[in-house]
Amino acid sequence: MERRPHSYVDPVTSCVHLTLRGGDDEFDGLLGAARSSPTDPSFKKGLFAYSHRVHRSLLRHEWAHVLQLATYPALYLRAARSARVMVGPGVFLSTNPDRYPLPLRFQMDAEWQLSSMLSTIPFRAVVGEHDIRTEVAKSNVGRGILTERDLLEEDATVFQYRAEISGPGLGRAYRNWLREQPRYSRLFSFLGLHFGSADAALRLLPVMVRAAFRTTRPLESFLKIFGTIMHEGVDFFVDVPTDEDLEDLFLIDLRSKLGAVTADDLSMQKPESGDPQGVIEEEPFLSLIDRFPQLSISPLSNLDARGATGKGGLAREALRHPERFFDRRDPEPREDLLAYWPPAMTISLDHPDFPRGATLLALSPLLHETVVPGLDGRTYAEWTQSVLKNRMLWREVLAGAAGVNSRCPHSACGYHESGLCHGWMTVPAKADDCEFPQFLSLITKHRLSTDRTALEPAPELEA
Amino acid sequence: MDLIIQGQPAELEWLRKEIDRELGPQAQLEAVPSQDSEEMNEPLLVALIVALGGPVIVESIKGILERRYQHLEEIRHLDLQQRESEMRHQYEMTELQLRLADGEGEERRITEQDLEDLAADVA
Repeated sequence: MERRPHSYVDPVTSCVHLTLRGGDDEFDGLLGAARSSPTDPSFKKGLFAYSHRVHRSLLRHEWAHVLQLATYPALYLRAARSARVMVGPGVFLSTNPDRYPLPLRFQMDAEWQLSSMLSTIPFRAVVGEHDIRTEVAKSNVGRGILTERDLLEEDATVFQYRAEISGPGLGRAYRNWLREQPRYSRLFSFLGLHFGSADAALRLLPVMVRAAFRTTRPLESFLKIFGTIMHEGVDFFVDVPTDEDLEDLFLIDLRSKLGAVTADDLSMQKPESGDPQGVIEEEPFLSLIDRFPQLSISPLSNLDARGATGKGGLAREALRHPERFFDRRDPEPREDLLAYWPPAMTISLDHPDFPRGATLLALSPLLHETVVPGLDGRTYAEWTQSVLKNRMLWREVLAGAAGVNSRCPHSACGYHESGLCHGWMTVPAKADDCEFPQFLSLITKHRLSTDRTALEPAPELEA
Repeated sequence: MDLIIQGQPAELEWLRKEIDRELGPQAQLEAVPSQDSEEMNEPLLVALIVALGGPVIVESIKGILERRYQHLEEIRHLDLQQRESEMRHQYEMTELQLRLADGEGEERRITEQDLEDLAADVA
């Protein structure tokens, strides 16, 4: 049976999706309000406050992912490509008017398919006496196996830990903290084993990840850094006084081995597997942000890279030193970090009676203040809502959604059994008020056929 | 030699806690999270890897595996915490899949009963 997590960050939209567990009186009160008055501002404020109070630590973990997306060039590049893939079906349909039987079936090009799954491909690092080899593993299950996702998750886990204790922490204490509940830990175990020190593993892990994601091949770069540490001796690196110096040292090493890529090397028109290997320096990263500003994370990336003194650079600083921004005695983060709040969050309650249409969408103030370049004055807040609708719609369709939409009560609606609207978030009280048919027609220039078995062109919508 | 245990996330989470509590670092326990999408999500366990360093460890693992049937309520609670509520149902124990990895890339399936013989083998 498929399991959906209770919290996740979608790298394409930078949206944090939370489904809150509960069982206390406040949870029950919110559930009642969701059923009776889901549009009431007090319900929305209550839901937002509840998520922050009860799931604070988890939220910080997800926030770390958002900061990674804003500042790690390899992630930004990947998100831009995934966004291109996301709009692919809509673009294809809108430019190829025809009759398409339902359920819709799209086949992704093999190279793009491979590139979209690079972060989950398992590798085994074989540490020999004189060298370190990597080999692609048959499955994710096995000792010593790592994926890129492990790198990102454990970087975020260290952030979460340091924010929670408001300090850099010690290896042994971190290991105990990891055991409290299911947490990503195999990268830390791997490093601890080979470095012979949990303290060294905790200190070096996030710095190694940050340097690795400044290159086009993060996992390979990470293992190169690992090889350098094993070759030179871990003590040399642990003795480097600051994390900033350590990161520079790793980047110098990677530059000498891989070289650097230019902005022109990084094209959205080709899949990631076609990228040359190398360090993505600051200028190509800035160029990337400018060339692909449609991502919801773009305002945060710009603020971090180009913001005025006191406002810029805080995302990178927070990833390096969470303890400077979080105080364990204070539930609120340092105020200046709030500008880097996740661009979008959806919050719902984990209960069968929670109406899906009551899901709260919270957009960061920065998105309301910032205009998307080239979109006639539209703000990122408006744009992001459209991006989220697109994302949810196509994610379900591409995953093979078909048949009845069990989350929607409007069984008489023509789209109810089409398999097209499974990802649609807002279910209105009356079917006639549903915005889905209009949205679908707008992005595909197609509509449901009268016999409800296919999509057919809507000539009146063609440009 | 490693024992690889695959099963439902809630059962694995219960086993993870028990193995950690009973054996600590000597089990060299590795928890393997699901990684089948591009999203960054909270960990859902798909497997546990335990180093079978000697007969005591094997016996302990065998005992823990047997005990799980007595903790159905606790595991059911973990299951409810981990799944979306519309999927809630009466929790039923599943058969765990056990494999033995020799560290050289070879693996073979074993049963819980085989652990008895294994304790003698690793002695």
